[in-house]
Order: sequence, then C-alpha cells, then structure tokens
Amino acid sequence: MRSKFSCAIVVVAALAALNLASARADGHITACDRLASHPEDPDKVVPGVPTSAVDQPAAIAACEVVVADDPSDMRATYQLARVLFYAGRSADAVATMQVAAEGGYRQAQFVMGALISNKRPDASEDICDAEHWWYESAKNGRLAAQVSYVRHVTKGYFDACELRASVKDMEAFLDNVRQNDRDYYVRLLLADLTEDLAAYKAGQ
Amino acid sequence: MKLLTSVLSAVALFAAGPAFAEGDFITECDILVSHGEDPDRIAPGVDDVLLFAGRAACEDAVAKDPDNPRLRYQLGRVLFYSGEAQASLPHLGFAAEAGSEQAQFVLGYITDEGLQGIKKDPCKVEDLWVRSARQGRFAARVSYPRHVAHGKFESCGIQASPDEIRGFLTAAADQADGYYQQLLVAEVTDTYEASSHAK
Repeated sequence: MRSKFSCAIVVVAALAALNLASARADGHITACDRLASHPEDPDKVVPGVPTSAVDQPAAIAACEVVVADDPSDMRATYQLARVLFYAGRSADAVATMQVAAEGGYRQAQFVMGALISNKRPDASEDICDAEHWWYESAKNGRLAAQVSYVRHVTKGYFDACELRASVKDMEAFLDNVRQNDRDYYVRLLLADLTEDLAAYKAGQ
Repeated sequence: MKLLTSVLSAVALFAAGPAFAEGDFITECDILVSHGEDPDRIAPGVDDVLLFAGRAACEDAVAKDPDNPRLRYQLGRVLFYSGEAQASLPHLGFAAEAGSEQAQFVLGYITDEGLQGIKKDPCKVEDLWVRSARQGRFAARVSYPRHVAHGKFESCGIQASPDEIRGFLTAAADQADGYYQQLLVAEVTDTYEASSHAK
C-alpha cells in the first residue's frame, strides 16, 4: 500500500513538474493569467479560473500591473475587465472590455456582445452594437459568438440592424462549430439553429 | 496498469464528486468507466474509456455485485462503446429500471437515434426521458421538451403536462453549466412555448 501510494505521489509530482516546465517555456505567462484567465477563452495560456475561484483583489492588482506595463496586451486587458465585473466595477469593466474588443481580442468581442444582449449596466443599449461585436468575434473564430450571432438573427433580435454576415457566412459559422465541438448539447443547439437558419433563408 | 490505477485511486479520493452511498466502494470499473455527468458516479468521469480494461473491470465488478445499478450502467456503457449494443441493452435496461437517471437518459438516447442497429421506439424514449427528467438529469430535462416541441412523441401518450415541462426547463436553466447549455435551454424554451403542446 505504502509503495503504491509513493508511486502515485511520484507520478503526480512528475506530471505537475512537466506542466510547470511547459508554462515557463512559454515566457509570456503572468500572474494575471494565472489569477484571471477565463476557462472558455480560446486564447488563454493557462487553465482558466472558474468565476467562483477568482481572487478578485489579487487578480485586479496583477492585471493592472501587466496592462500598465504593456497596454497593447489585450489578453491581460480582457482579463482585467473580467475581474472588474466580478468586483462590481461595472463602468470600469465595460470601458476596459471595450478596449480589449477594439484591440481584436475575440473573447472580449464576444463578451461585449453578451453584455449588450443581456442589457447589463453600463453596456450600450443599442442591440446593433451586439451585432457588431458578435460578428467580429465570430469572424475571428469564437464558437460561442458564431452560434449566438445566428440565433439572434434567426430570432429577429437583429432585425433593426444592418447585418454584416450573409446567410452563407452564417452557414459557415455553424459548420465551423459543428467541426470543432462534438458535445451533445452543442449538437442539439446546432440542429435547431440549422433548421432556424434554413427557414430564415427560405423567408428572405 | 496497477500504477495507473493507484494514481487514479489517489486522485479519486481527493477529487470533489458525488457522495458515496454507505457501504459502497470505488471499483476499478468506476475508475475506468464512470461517466462525468452521471450523478450516481463515485469516481471522476472518464471521457476516453479504455475498452478492454474497462470491460474486464466492469464484468468483474458486476459478477460480484450484480444488483448494483451504477455498475450495470457502466458495464452497459463500455459494451456499447465496444460496438456490442445487444449485449449492453440488458445492463442499461436493468439500471434504468432500478432508477439510474443516467441509464434512463442514455438508453433513451441510443433508442431515439437507433444507434448500432437498435430499433427506434419513440414511446420508449418518451417514457425513459420523462423518468430521467423527473429525477433531475439535465440532458433529459432539455431533450424531453425539445422532442415534445418537435412532435417526436406525437404517437405516444405524453406523460408530462405543459406545466411540468416548463418546470423541467426552469430547473434546467438553474442547472446549466456554461454558455452553450444556457443557450440551449433558452432555445428549447422558445421552441416549446411556440409549439402546439404548450398552448
């Protein structure tokens, strides 16, 4: 029993060391990444931290240092915005998220669209701004934006907007999600959205 | 292999997960074949099941404890993944009848899809999924209303009332884990409310 347990500890320690080594080899991982990465951000460089586990004061301090040192670091800017939201600093969060979105960070673009769509405080009240951000994020390959964009178009939520995506673009969005995510729930969602998009196309 | 088992056992001991039933213990079948979304699992879930080792472990576990629904479901799972659907059905069926909400959902799913040549039977699916949904399985709580809304159960007696179906979806909204699941619940809710069954 004791030798088995020792073996287990050795293996776990070796795996942890390998993980640490690969993290250090990257050279760009900061305390902001370790404290504030979002688990679903496709451009994160470390495993994400669930919302409930974020140490808000430490993460804000760490991300502010990184952003002050390199304002062009859009990953850190997004992560700072993320934690500012959790800390209840809504206006600062939206302004910071907008910087990251305008800097081309696809997760921030997706979140901007979600904030607007969900009518969150301090976010734009113009649903067409959500259309803009989700289109940008979808074009950059963020899967959640690709499904959200199609859903909002087919439900008519963007009827007042000039759509940037064609039906062909939206079909490509769904195809891309189909190829990259085989989760049961995503497949159900895709099946329904594909039907909705076909009906939308037929009604044009 | 023993080393792997030792490591996984150590991890399982410290991992957060469903509580053990009194007198229950983790078998190698649990370590190798548990499903991550099975609320009755007692070990961390496994996505990539080792078919040969998993089958041997679960056959051994079921031989020792044949009335255990969790182990019967897991043996059914590994047999199905091994392409032996007909051999898996009695185990999935036993677990479903014994109240495993995971087995109820999965047996309904493979029957709905007609996977591996299993005969499609929408009314069997309706019965399995309504029981799973009533017990709280998220997948059943969205799949059942979705099928009702799409008319897939029209030839069956739909056991759940509109209010109960709305209850499934309300509960599913609270259970949803992550953006896609939230979006799916919203989508199914919209589809259900627009359907004739809801009116």
